[in-house]
Amino acid sequence: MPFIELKNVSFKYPSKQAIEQLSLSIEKGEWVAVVGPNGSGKSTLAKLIIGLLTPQSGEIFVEGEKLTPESVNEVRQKIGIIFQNPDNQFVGVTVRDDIAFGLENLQVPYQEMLTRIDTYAAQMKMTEFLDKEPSNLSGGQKQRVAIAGALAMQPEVMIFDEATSMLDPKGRLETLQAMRELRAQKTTLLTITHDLKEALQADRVVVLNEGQVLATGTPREILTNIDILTEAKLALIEPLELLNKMEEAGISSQEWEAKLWQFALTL
Amino acid sequence: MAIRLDAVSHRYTSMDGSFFQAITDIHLELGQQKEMIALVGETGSGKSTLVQHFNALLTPSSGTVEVMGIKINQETVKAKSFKKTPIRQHVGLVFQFPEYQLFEETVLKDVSFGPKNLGLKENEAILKAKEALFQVGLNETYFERSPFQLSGGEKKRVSIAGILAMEPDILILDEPTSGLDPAGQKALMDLFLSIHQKTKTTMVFITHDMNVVYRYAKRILVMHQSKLVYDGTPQELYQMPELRTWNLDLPDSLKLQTFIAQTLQLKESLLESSVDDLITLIKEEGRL
Repeated sequence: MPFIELKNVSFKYPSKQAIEQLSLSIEKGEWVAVVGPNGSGKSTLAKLIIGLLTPQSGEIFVEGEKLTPESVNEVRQKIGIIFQNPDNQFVGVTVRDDIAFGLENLQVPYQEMLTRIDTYAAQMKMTEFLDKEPSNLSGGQKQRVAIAGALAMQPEVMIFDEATSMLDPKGRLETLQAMRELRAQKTTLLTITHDLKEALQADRVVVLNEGQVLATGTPREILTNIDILTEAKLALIEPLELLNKMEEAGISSQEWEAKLWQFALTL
Repeated sequence: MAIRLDAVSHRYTSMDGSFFQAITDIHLELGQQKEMIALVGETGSGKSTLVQHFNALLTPSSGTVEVMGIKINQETVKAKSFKKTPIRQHVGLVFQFPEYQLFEETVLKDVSFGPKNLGLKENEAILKAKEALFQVGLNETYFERSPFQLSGGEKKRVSIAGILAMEPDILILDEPTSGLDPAGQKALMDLFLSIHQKTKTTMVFITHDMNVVYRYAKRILVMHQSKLVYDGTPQELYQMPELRTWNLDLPDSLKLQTFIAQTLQLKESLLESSVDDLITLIKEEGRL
């Protein structure tokens, strides 16, 4: 049974069709990266999965349970989401309050709450910042607090919606590292991005275009396919451009391919 | 036609009366060479505060900014005769996410707002607006549309046209491509480059993306912890050991070139080699 399953989902805003007859499934423990141009429906997809938007037709299942107005609160507890702008997701005066906020809403017992705050702050390397004001942190630190807050709710899947796009290079690397750590712990990940270097890290890449799945496959299959990338207004990253051109010129080898792929993962 | 900063510092006062030093003792000159200049640095390093001094949106706490011969400091701004309008005309500033600041019913009205504000007659302002819209690649089919119904990239173009319509000598862009997909980013940066080449406008763009610096900037300014720590060519910057201290990354192209040089065990550096150059090189040297 897929962990998240969308069956023929359509969603239309008053002025625009955002998602059209989209079917997609995500397995437990899998890291799926959703890429696509502006307006392709990526962020709408995330909002549909967490029940912030309701599809006009089609069905969404989380762990086999159908998303309905009745089940949405329960289903949402299984999902943590991190948004693009790190400044728009804080409610607490301190980092500690902020992580506690979601737990209070869940009515987690006090002792358990303290334990979880410590655990997830430590996991995101934010322990020394627990008594600081979130507004005084750097962009990368803010995203790590947001991730700690989401993880404290012990979700089974984490969604990152353009979570690195507003960060400086250091913040971006810190957030990417957090994603890798979550993957290592077998957390199911759905990352929405137009940073193909981020998508490269995933197990599977889904390309959205005009509200539909244009292509899906391994990073190797998708991110070297110039036709797919061009149609989705994405650009080949340089080491893979080199790899493609080496193949055209007949000078590629398995060794070169492995080396360039390893290198691309460090970018 | 230039901006000069002489010992410029700026500090913000918080509600509780404490100070935050945003930029410290900046000496800088730009605008003479008609360059494309990148401004980089970590979040909070002072980039946005710095550029807001270029068009007198902020007055230095100490030191003097000189824009087109007009001196801006704590003393001069107190004078009754001090006017900011001519400064704003010379130096156009496009904020990050300018698309949030569109407000008129039609694209043409929105873009002609700036020139009208500068005192141009209605028909002259409309003419300037039309020219600016053509410059950013939006033709007459856009003129009567509501700015709110456009895509993110189109909205950005409209707001940039609004600044271009004032015909500034220097254009400042605060993270101009943020929020755009890769194709949109490239289209917009290519547009700035072509406007720069045609009009000889000096452009200063804030960016986090060293790949953008690599492709578009002839000169780079680095801010670190409120100070201007580097002002020079990107090529020299890439060689500097301080790069890490300043939390700057190398462009992907350069990383790839270094990686290929190491893999082929080459002594010489491959600075400025394109992917096609690398292909040629690997053909010659490529036995692993």
